[in-house]
Amino acid sequence: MTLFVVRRGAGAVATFLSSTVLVFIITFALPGDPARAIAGHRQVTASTLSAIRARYGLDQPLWEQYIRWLGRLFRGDLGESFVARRPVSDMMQEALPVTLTLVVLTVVIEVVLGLVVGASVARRSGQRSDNAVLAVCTIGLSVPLFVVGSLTQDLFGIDLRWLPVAGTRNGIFSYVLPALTLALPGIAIAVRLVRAESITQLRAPHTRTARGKGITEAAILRRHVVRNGSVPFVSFVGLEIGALVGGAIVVERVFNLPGVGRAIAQAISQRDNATIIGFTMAIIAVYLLVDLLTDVATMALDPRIERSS
Amino acid sequence: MNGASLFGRGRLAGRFGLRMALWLLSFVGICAVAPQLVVAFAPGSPSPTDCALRAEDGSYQDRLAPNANHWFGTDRQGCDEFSRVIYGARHSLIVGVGAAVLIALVGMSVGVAAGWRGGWVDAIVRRTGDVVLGIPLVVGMILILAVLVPGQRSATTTVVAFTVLLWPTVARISRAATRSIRTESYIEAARAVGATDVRICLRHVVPNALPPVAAYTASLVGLLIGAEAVLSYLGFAVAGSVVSWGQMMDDAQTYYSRSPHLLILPSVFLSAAVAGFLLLGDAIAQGPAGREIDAS
Repeated sequence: MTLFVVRRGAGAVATFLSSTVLVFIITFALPGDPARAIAGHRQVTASTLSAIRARYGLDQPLWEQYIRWLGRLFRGDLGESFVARRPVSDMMQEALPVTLTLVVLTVVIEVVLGLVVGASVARRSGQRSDNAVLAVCTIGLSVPLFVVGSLTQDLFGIDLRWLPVAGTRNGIFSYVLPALTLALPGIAIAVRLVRAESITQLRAPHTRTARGKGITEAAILRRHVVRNGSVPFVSFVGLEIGALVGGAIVVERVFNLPGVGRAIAQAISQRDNATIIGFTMAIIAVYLLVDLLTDVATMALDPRIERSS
Repeated sequence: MNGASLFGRGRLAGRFGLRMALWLLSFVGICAVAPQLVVAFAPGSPSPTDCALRAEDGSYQDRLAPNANHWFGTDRQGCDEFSRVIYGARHSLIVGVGAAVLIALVGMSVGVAAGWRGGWVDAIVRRTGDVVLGIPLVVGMILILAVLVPGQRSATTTVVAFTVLLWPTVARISRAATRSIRTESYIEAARAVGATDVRICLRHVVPNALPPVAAYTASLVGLLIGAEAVLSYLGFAVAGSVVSWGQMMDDAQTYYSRSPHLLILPSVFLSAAVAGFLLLGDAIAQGPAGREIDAS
């Protein structure tokens, strides 16, 4: 177990370092001159531009810039935003809680609804209800998030005035509509997954044996169905957290939330290199960490996974 | 876990899902190949370029609600919305199908090679795939598309960008399939009669690894059509005068509260296309060829 965690951890660190190189190269291939972006709208002379380049180390070769950036990263310094003239880590301290609140709330909604709805449709399995589940889940996965967002915003926020439609001024209530929107495709996947797993486990030979031994239905559910069925569900939740960060960009824009996604989109349009790199790497780090935790959790639930890897 | 279905392991669908998929895809397919046939049913057989801000009597013709002359109303330039929605299918299908096929080709070549050779080839492919998949799709697409000057942004560049970011998904699936096919006795038999590695891979490994890849690729088309619309919404629409659902939905955002049909109608068609491909992928994963996918 320890060996597995160490090996997986080392792999995650190696992946993270390789992705820093990739993101760094892509960012510096972006069109436009960062020195000009720093200078802003002012008319500047060539000597001012070269002074700016020297000040931010932009005149050095790309690999030297990369090494220095990496060195600062290990000291927790993500550099300074060219546009906002503030440390990137300060901007992240503002944006990260917004996106994390959104993602955590979304995952909670997905897990709760996925389990409740999935388990109850599993009990009513039959041709007609199966087709209905398939149709509803397909619709949930097919409608683009920004359309769902606009519709819920208009219906619950503007027409019914139940919930706030934009910004974060209303505390947790500000996140209800965005999280419900973001959760829709995940709920569709979770319902199908839970339904399929419950049916498989309830019909499995070992469940039949347990029933034959006279074990109560509650104990069968707890010890056999939930335990065995939880492995694919845990890996779904892990993958989902990573995927949600991408979807958050869209939802943050619809609901005007000042989160990581909005910060990245804005930084890319302003060619704010330090911010793009800092935020993208933060997302990748979160993704890799969640991936690692998921692997450890699924292995703890099902020790056979370690032996097969 | 195989990841062959974007739905997660559904085990639903069956004939109902396949039938729905074929209906939806035939309709979207006709719109993409011969939109003239579909718009011929509408009054005056409009085309996306039939735009008039003012009619002959001087009344404004922009953002009309759906009516007898314009089934889906008109957009803010007074263009017939029905014909634009029908003609918009082509761009989405070109990007979605084009990118999915390219991803399948690249991913499968790399995945089969990695699974067959093993060793350092396999290690490099897996590590590179992990790095690429660590970047969220939307972030990666914005980064790549922002590298290109807006004038260069086209269906082709979108397809290439999708391929760069998503080839590892198919590579993983085909690698896993190849690993299990490698140990089959028919591979040993082929080797015993002196077949070369390349021949074995092309004649035996690829056909047998195809079902899970096909199932994933079909669902992937749906995912990509949706992602393409999201990119338009984020301001990375294709340049020029291409009629696309994403562009139409993006334009409609501003007028949503007064002209909701301009957002809803293209969304319904886009969602139908996405649903068709998701259901198709699901049906393949559960068809006769897909049985083995679940068992692995």
